[in-house]
Amino acid sequence: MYENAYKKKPDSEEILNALFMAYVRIGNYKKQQQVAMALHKLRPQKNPYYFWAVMSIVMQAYENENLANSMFLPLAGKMVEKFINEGRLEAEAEVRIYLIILQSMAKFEEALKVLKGPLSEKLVSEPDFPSFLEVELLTKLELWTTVNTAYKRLIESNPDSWQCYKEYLRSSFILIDAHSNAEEGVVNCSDTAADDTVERVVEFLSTMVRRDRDSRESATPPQLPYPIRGPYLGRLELLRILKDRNDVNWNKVLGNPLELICQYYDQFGDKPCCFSDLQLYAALLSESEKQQMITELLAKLGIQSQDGQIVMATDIKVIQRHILLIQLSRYYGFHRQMETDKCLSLAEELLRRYTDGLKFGESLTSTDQQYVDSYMLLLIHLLHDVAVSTKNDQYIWHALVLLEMSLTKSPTNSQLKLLAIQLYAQIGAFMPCYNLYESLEIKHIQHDTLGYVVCNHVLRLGHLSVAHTIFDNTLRFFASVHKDTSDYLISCYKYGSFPKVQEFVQFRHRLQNSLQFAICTAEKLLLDIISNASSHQMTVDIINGMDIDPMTEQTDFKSLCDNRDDSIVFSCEPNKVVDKKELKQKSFLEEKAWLHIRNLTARCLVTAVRLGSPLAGGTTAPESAAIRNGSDAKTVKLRDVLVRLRGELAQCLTDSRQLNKSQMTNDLCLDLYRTRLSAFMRLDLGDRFLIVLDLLLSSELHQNSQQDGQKAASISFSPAQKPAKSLSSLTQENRKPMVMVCGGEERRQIVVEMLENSVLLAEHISQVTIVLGACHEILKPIKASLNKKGKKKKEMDPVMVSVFESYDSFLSETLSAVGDLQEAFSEPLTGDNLAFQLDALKIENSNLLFQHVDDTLESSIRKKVTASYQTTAAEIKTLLDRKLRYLENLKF
Amino acid sequence: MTTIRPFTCDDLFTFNNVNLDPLTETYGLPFYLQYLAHWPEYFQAAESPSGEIMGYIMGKAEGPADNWHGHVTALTVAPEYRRLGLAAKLMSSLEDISEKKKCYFVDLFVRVSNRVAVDMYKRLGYIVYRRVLEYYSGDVDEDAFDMRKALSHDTEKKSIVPFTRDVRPEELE
Repeated sequence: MYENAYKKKPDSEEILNALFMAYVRIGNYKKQQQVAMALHKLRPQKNPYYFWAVMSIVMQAYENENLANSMFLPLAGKMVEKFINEGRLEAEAEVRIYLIILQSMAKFEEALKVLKGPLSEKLVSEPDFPSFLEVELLTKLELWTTVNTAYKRLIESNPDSWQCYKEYLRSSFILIDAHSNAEEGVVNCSDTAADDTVERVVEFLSTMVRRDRDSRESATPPQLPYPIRGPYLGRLELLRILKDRNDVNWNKVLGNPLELICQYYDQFGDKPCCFSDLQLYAALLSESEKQQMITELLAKLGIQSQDGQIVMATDIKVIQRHILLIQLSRYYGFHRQMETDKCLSLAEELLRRYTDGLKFGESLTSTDQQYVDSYMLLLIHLLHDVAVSTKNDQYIWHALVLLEMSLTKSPTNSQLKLLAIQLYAQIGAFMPCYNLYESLEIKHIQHDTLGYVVCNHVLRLGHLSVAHTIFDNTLRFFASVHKDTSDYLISCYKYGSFPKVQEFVQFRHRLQNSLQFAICTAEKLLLDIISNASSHQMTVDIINGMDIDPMTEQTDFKSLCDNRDDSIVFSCEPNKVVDKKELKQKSFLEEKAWLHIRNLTARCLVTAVRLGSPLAGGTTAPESAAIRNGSDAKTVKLRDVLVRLRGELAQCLTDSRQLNKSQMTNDLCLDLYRTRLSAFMRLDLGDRFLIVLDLLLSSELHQNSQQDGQKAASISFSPAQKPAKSLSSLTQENRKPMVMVCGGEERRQIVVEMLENSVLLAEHISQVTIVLGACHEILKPIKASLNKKGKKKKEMDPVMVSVFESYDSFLSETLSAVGDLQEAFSEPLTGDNLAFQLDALKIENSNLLFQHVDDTLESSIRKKVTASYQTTAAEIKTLLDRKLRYLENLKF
Repeated sequence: MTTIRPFTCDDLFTFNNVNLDPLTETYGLPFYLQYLAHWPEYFQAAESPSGEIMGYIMGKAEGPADNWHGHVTALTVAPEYRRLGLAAKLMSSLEDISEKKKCYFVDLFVRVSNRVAVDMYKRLGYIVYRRVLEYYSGDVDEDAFDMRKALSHDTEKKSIVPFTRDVRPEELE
């Protein structure tokens, strides 16, 4: 539109401006550049236009790496230099863009010159920017002695800056290595101020520590109300590096590491962040030193009497230190080595301390957390450990009761809520999860980063209507991503925030290729296809109303970004047990595999319905040759599409089977939850779906051969293997009570698989129903014409007979599976039955931990859980009822 | 131990441990992007040694003539990183930037009930300039304090002579 306006009025600044913005929106950098230059010619006195063009060239360089260094960047650089030489450079943004260009071209020396020259006077908006960029450039140039002294200066003026310590140490060790590599006597730079020996590094860090101590001891009031952690953590970091380098003196240069860590604890142990600090340096201690440290520091706290009795803490700082020690011992893996009894008695102690410590928080407001909430978190983990080791879900139940109790004291603590969500999900009760999730006020971009907290559970546990809500909310956020990011991309040009341009573009890319986005899109599509229809005509209408091209895969799997923020759950799990990075990687692979299966399933369903749906005019009525040919062409094409998709799905299942072997299928980790892939594979639902697709394909093949009076061509794929277990045996196996008594009378287990399997089976049946519906459409006219011919069965092609036979057996098997599933859901999930079952989860035990539980609280939890199970049952039953009617209409 | 660095778009993916705090609002994308595009220097994050976001500050510079001032739009620190002086550090960096931009003062709004924050700002040299009635909407609307601190450009400290009466949100320019 603006292009036309521009042609009419080539000298309108306004129109050109709008045109430039339009190109920014669609990311056409080349056109951006041209329009910006036109603007510059029109208004040569306005610098920004010229630099819009420069930035547009820089973006072309990012887009086209091949031409970046040979063409775009040098051109952009020359354009800026022209202005510099003419003395026309005005704004800070213009200097920044020049620096970007020079850095992209690896002209670090030139960039340094800019920083030291007159242009640097324009760099005012970020006070620290020039000095930090300077060392960054020096680092790029590998001028390590200069880098080292620069970071020393930065540390001196900024003694709590972690980045500076890290870089300082890095450069020191590069210098140290350079020394040892060089031949003796050749290199001697000890006359510089750089720290090129371990001794000098030790000296410098010790000076920083001394300075911090002096500044707090001498000044009154102290200059800094808070001691700074920098110098102390810097020393520990030095030890970590030395140890990693297998330096023989690593544990001598600064004295005993255990002592250093204890010193750190003395100084910062009452800060909640101390755990994450010391977590980084766990490897500095041997197993026995860790034990020794915890034992000694616990004794020093004085909250345990001589005979091992618990003495309550007298202030919050002591509590915080105690919490830290328990967190560290969990992180060191000590909890995992404890017997059940020990775990429970520690949990009991923590509960007593929690209850007592609540008194310190009486004056807190409702938005504050209790000081003792961390006790609760730790004790829930202990109970979870016990539940896993004893395979007894009573402990999970009890943990939930305690969590709900603590949430009444600390109603906004997100950690408590996240734990409760995970535990409710483990026992298969989704409604309480969702309510807690909603209370976290998840919105906007958090749909992307935190949606995973409930997303994998909502369908697993069959809450279809909430699933709709979740997907809709998520997709609404993503729907405006393009507009939102483009609008502010334009602002970046307007305000000259050039460094942000590429950042915004990458941000948009990350959002548009979000895993969560792709999952929600796929699952919503599948849900829309299967949920409402109670007849094939309804399915046809639904599919016709969708704007989908089953030919193309919507997800670009190579660009998919995992934006899930899995760092929200505070964890003291030992690294050996839970490697978070590895877990996330595994989970991402599994999510991708599952997503692929889901995408293909949806595409197969859409194609199947289109293949079966009567085309305009119908296939039986006489019609003009032109239309016939046209429609045939379409059918043939759809058939090819379905054959291809079927092949892809089969391949995808094979790959997933491979992946599934190494996947996390246990629910031990309170973290990223598995997908439904493992259960799907266990039930062979993928193969079952392939078989029904095969039935459709062979029906369609024979339909064509009948019409053309030719022999059926051979089927162009190898038919899927029939799974060992029949569908009806699966549905029958699934009839179990929700709570089972195991191991004599000792243990209780909540049979969540029952719910999960039933939901998967119901979903599978719905998909099968749709494919059968498509088959029915194809077979109907054949059957009709056969009937017309006067029931002479002899005339019928024997292959056709077998098609009809397998159709009938499929239909009846599916029908009986529906009945079985409905029964499985009815009896054990009635209110009375459930209440009785859940009652068995109470623990009778003299341990204090299991007493003093508020009965009303427990019964309210029982009600919530019961209601949630019943919602699952009701939703699935409604789905099955619809499919029952659907299937009844498919009988011949 | 902290790294103070510019807030980037990618931080929006990982700022949840800060934003799950009930008093920290999560805004729509346009809000953050507007600040990043217009006042990138005023949007700073504090990062812990383990790479976590400990807190962040977002602000802007605005106002005509002698009302040219720095404004703190949001300042938040995750619960486990409180009482380390982090907020003070972030505030001082914002004040430095405002000084460089020749602002006359820095102002901010805070819930009158948020005693901890009000006290902290007072310690940092801010005074209550005026009270804004029902500034925060919610189940029960809440008043805000408009707090200010003069910068060196305001040589006569005119900007921090307290306003004589309470104002309504619609009176704010």
